[in-house]
Amino acid sequence: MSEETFMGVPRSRIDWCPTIDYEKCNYCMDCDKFCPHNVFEVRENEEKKLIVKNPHNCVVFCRACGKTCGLDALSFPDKSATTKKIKEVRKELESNE
Amino acid sequence: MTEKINEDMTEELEKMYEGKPKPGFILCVCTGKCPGFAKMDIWDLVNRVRVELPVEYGFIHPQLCEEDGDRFLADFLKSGRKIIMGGCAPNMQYKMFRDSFNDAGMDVKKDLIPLDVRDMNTDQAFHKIEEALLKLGGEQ
Repeated sequence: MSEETFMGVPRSRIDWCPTIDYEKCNYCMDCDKFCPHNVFEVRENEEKKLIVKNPHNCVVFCRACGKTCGLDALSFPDKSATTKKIKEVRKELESNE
Repeated sequence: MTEKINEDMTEELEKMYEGKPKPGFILCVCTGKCPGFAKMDIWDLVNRVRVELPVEYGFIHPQLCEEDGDRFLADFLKSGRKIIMGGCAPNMQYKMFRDSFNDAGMDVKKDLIPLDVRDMNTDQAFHKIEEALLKLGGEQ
């Protein structure tokens, strides 16, 4: 089982990770506590106390951290657009083989 | 020694569930690409659970928290059977599946037994499921 690809496409070519809305986020860190993949990084001494540090660690199509957020401060890319991109990249890779 | 204990527990479980309704077991693996499941062999785990433990059936679902997971649960929960779910954090499972259980006339707090099996190896996850079955059997 490879974590480097998803649906046959390198993970690095799939744009899927949470985006933090800093207008809404109150830094409760529930998302970071839930996610075991170090997608987020807590920066206590900085203005933005939470950032998306490792976007490619995020499990494609997982939105669970967003569901922990009572303030709805996390958003994700459009699933159908991501699916379309995955298909395009796969086609491109197949034609290069 | 460990094997002896395991055999004893399996026998105890078999007796406990004799003639009683058995729960279903779902291993929800976060697309199968989640590093939290990298330490275990998900196929070994689900096969051991469905063959060795008193569950009505066991299977793997790739991602129940997505929209198709909601649609699946809407169909699947019609049976009204209790579900032991190996997956992510229990508080998240309650939150994510509450509506599906409600819609099926079930109570997520009673009818779902959520187990966090992330970052466990196959044996550790198996024992956690065994223990949950033991606790559930004792309550029935």
